[in-house]
Amino acid sequence: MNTFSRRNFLKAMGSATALATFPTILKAANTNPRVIVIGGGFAGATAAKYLKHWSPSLNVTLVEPNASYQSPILSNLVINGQKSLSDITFNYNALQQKYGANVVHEWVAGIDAAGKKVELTSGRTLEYDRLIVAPGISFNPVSGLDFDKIPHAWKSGDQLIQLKQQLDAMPAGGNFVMTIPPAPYRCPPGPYERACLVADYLRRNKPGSKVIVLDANPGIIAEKEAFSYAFNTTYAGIIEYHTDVVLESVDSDRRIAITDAGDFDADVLNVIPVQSAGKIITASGLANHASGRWANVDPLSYESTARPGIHVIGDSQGTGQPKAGHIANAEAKVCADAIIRLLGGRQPYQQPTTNSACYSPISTTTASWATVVYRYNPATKLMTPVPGSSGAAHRADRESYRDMLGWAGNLFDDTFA
Amino acid sequence: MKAYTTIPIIVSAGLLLTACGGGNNTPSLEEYTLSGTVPGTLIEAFCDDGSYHRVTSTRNGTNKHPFALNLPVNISCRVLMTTNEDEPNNKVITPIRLVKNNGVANIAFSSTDDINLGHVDLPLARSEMTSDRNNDGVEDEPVNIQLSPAYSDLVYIDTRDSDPMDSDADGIINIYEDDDGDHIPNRYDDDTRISDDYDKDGIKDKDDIDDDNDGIEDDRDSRPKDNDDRYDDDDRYDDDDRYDDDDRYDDDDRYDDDDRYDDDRVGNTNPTVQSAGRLLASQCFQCHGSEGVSKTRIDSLVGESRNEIIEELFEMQSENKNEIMHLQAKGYSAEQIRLIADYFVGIPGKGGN
Repeated sequence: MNTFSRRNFLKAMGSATALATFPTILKAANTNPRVIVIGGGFAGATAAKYLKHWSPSLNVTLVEPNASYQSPILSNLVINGQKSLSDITFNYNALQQKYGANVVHEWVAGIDAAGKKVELTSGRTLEYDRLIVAPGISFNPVSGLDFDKIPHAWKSGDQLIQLKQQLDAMPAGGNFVMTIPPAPYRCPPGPYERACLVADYLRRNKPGSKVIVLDANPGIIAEKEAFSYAFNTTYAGIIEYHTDVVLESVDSDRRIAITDAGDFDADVLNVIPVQSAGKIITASGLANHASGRWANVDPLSYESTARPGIHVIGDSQGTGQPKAGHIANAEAKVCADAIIRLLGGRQPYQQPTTNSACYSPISTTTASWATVVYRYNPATKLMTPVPGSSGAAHRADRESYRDMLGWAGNLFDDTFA
Repeated sequence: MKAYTTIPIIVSAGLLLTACGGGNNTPSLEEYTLSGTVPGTLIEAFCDDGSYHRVTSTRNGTNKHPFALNLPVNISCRVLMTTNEDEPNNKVITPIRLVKNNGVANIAFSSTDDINLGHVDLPLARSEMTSDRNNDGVEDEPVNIQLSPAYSDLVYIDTRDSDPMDSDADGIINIYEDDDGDHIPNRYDDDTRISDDYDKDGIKDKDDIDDDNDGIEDDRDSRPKDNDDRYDDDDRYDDDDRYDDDDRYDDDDRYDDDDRYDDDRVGNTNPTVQSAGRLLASQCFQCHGSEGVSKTRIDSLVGESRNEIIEELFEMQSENKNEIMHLQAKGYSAEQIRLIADYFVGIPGKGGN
């Protein structure tokens, strides 16, 4: 079997860098094991770095269509003007120059699992011994939703700037309406964080405005205590929080969220759609989670339970660990270590841990936090939270805001530098 | 580490959808507290996830001593209570069976909410025992505890057909049977081996990744079945090395008897074992910087001594503070903490904080 699924949505993106690095692949291919990493976000970039850091003789190639990465972490601080997009933009220079990985800026056309090949839209084919797929999330379609008019702003970058510009242009006394999808979605505290920061921005810049939060979940799903306090006290009279509201469609021209609880008119509408694994996961037969939306993996190695030799890390995997950059970095290290062991004929470490730690800004000076450690449960073959390791801030405070910047700085560095 | 692979466990899928960091309202595999009062007693629990939990009741000047045992939520556990626990020939061991309002009862149970058993009246001497027909100090019939209405609905009784921890389904878990009939239960019997469960932890060897329960997985344990207990007898049944190791702050592993067969200590060159410490330590880098060298206000980890890292993490484990590192510290076993500390002191001269 040697079939590629060719999909139009995976667009070609030619690159001089890719051509320059290609001969290296050919030269080393005969001697050293080859690992390809698809996707250069927190999961993929960390995996590529640590594969080379821990096993320099490996031939590692990162396939990432974009020349730089704009982090969703801290991105809500771009909306309120405390950070610029360039502050949270990273490139792959260190990965190439310091760690010696190949970086190919192209789109993937398809994966040939049986033939252990990745085909790029340029027509080039890359062979691998192990493949890591880390494409992040894709959005499920919403009737009537046009992202050019109604930004999701959930992957940082241009969409973030678009949302900021709409807020800057919003009249005082207007309504900012945002919708939160049912869990699981990328960054569980993220929508609540955004509601707080937009409320803070509007209070100072657009007096009389409201933030209307339409949550498909039955309540705040992360850092509940701190966010409840922020919604009910810090931003009392500004944030209006509705639970169990399911978005049905969107009128993108008139900026109306049409829900099972009625229509909500907005001056600025931010729809965060229901999410699934990146499209390459579905296209490659890796989305074997019961929901059909995620890739089931063995958490000892993150190897797909559908396709041997292919590992899935980050937001696309379906282990139940949260979908967020910090823990994606953690999963990537477990996966990299397991691949190094497997290529050496050994077994993955049997007691892996991952952890989540995240700080959420709640105003320009305060932040909240949450954390948990996961460990492998050999009885269930799942990653499960270690009893006693899970907790969250009771209130946002200034110390946590400072820690947030320290945490993010080291996380960015550990992933991209 | 004890662990097994074949026991079916009921875990709700919702539990796995834990938010980033796990919000307070998010169902998660946290702990609940099993409490009550007893005569002066050791309370032990053996759970499906391979974990072992114990607590001794607190003397309070009455004959009803309170206890509180934290157990993993939604994981079936079996509880036994031992009076005279410090007297080997006079221990009285009582298995507990919980009974719900609707009559459903078993020794294996789980909960997501705190459970108070009320007062449990236990025999205090062998002469007070009611069902110890084989004179091994273990009641042959578990004591039924009727749950009060308030708690009955909160407890899930695990009534599966076969319980690997209680192979003959008599309500006495395997390690508290007396297989050789010498009136000493297996657990405390040095001359009894359970043929297919070397460490008598209730997990059959074929399913146990650490047959001798020395913390070294079999595939990297030079003595996967270590009969020589001269050096670690006290520790055989204790999951938590923090409380049993006189050498816990002893840097010099040459004199550390517990570790004499641990091949992942100083001087080990097995790359698999080295990568365990490296992998575990790398989980600190997201906050503390690559290789433990912070570039921000967060503390660096290189520059700390092995003792400092171990001591700080143990201390944070023991303190009940709602702070990130106190919570994080609870995510690692004593063995993993030692591996992490070994890794950081092995990073040469990168400077401290």
